[in-house]
Amino acid sequence: MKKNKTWKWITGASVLSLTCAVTACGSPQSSNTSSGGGSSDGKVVHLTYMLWDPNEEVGYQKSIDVFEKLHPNIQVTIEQYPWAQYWQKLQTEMAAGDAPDVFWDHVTYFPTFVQNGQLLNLKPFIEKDHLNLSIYYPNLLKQYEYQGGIYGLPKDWDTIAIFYNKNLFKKAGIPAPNHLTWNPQNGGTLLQTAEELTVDANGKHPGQPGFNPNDIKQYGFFSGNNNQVFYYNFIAENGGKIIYHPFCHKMLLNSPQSVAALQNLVDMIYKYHVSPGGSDVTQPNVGSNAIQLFDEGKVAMYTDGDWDLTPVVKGANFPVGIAPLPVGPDGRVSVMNGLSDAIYAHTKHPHAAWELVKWLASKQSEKILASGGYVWPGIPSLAPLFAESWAKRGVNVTPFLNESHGQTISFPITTNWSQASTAIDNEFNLLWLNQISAQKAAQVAVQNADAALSGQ
Amino acid sequence: MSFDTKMLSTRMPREKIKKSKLTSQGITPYLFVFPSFVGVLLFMLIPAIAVLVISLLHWNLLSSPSFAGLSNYTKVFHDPTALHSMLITVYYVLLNIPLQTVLAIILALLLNRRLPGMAIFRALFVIPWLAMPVAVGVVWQWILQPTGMLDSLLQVLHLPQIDWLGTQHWALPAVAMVNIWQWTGYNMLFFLAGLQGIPAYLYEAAELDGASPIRKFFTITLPLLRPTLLFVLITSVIGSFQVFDTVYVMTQGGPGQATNVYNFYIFQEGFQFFHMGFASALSVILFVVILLVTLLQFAYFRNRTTYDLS
Repeated sequence: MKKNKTWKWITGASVLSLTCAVTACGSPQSSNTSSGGGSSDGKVVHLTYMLWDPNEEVGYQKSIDVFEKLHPNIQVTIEQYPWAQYWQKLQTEMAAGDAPDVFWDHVTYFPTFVQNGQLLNLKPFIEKDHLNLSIYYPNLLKQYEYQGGIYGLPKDWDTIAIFYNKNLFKKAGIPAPNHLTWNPQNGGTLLQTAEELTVDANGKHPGQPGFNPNDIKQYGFFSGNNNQVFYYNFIAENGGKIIYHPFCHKMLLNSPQSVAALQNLVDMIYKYHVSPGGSDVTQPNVGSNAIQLFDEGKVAMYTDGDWDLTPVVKGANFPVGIAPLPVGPDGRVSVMNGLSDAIYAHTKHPHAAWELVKWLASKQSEKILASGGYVWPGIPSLAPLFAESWAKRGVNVTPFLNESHGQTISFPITTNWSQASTAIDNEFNLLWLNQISAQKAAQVAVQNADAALSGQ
Repeated sequence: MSFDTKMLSTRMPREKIKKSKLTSQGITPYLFVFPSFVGVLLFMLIPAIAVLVISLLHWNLLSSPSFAGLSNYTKVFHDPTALHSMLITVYYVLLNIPLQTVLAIILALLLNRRLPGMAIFRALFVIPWLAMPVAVGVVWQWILQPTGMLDSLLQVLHLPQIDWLGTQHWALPAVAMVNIWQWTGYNMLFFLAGLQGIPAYLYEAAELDGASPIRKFFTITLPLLRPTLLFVLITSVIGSFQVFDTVYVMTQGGPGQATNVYNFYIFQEGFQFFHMGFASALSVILFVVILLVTLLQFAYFRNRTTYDLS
């Protein structure tokens, strides 16, 4: 799960936080004694639950409605803020000692929060309630463990696959891209397919005599400066790694395997002309641009995560196909990520919050989310529900599922990631604008990111 | 007669005003001022003092702050990015203010005529100012992107296409252009009000003396617009030094560091990297710079004559 749209803005937050700052230094540690279990004393407990995805919010409201019926003494209010301002809001509220009781957590922010003591350890609750943790994906469960504690239960997961425009493939007489290959030397059949689907104003394809790269009407592919949904996967498929190991301060993006992968991806734009380029494919708007160009029929296929199914399929006036990522030199590798619900360490109602978190990671709740097609459930046995929901809408989403059973990598899990990833995004923008080489970009990006990770 | 001259002609000696207001009206005026005062106190003064204090701390919002002395300031002065951000912010102000102000004056002159439907035109030019800056940024980003409207238009006209937001030397002018588009109409309003405060007899007298339109503009209009110009320049220069929203939406400071204006750098350090102390020190320095620039503007205008038409 990652940023969908980055165009929301907070001025208010700056003012707010600075006023908060006056009171924050003496913020109340949760000395509140109210147990808040929400059952015995008959008082109604109010919980706030913060999340960032507006599409999934609909599904979570359905789940919360059931939860409130089962726990008449707990009322839950959902607060939705887009990814771009979610973390700023959360962290300023933590500073004020007034963060939401329960909130969506992401692996890239988890380390900072847990090391600063902002998250409640769920392990005592899990043990008390004898929760069976073996029902979850073990790799997802591990993502939110720290020094023997457990700080979140896997409630969902996501992988990356190819979204393609079935009409454009049919029109070009090209079979669905279900068996593509890719390598950094010649781009594999991914590049070949992309070339066949790239058309200039005269109907010519890249490589044909008379092809005009300055007047392309339709692109076969989309290569953009987008880590999770794009280049991380290709780096991994070429045997590269993003970071040495969790919680370390050294990036590995500048290995020969990574650099070769990155260079080939950028060459898709400026050498092979199968993808739009320039500021269409750079941060901050690369994610929304990809969806927009795909939905407009200007891009025949691109890579994206399953959380974007809802907006993409809604915005497309053509049947959307899902195909697995191409097979690279090291096989097919997807980034697999899962969110968890975290409990704020200083919540006034830890017991009620635990009831909510337990519910959200339960079979009943994950069933509601999966069968509504909102998100893949963190409990593998429920996966068919999500697939069926999308099959009813004419989209076969099983490639995401198959990838989750294959080779996957996780997001880099380490502190100060936000600053490091901004440093990388900035440098890679220059790479995707064709202003510097992959070698140079990776070298500078790693240097800046390492400095950020070690807290400089 | 017009607004300005009336004000000037009914002016009373200062002491007299003070006495009469304090004695005859009691507490009432203060009650009227109170709500605004509370607003200023809560949302301006207290946060400003908080920034001063935070600038002396190391604080990431999550763990408890520690005293940093002046080290955040030392860091700012040794930070090449801070210097770069300040320099391109000054460049941005220079791109933005002269063009925006001249355009606003020209528009005000054009819209100051009595023609049927003039109210519609005046409203049209103010509309961009009514739009949310973020929405403006999003829409302009769509227009300016390589697959966007502007480049399609340039292509039809067989003109060279430019990746406005993806080219280092075009990105900041593009952002400035968007802000000029948004703010010119607003500034035009002030000039329009100023123009309507200039008595018509001055122009009639000039015409009798055979003054050309250009002569009339430079010897009557511009000197009499000076108080308006002072106000517009001071507010828009301050606003321009604080440019943020369009940058946030359109470029996030990129490509590279090309649009990493000072306020965006503050935001990023404070609210994305959570270096609150450092970000606060950056803010204090911006405050000092803006204060100096504003004082300079005041000094410049103080030495110019303003005409009392009473």
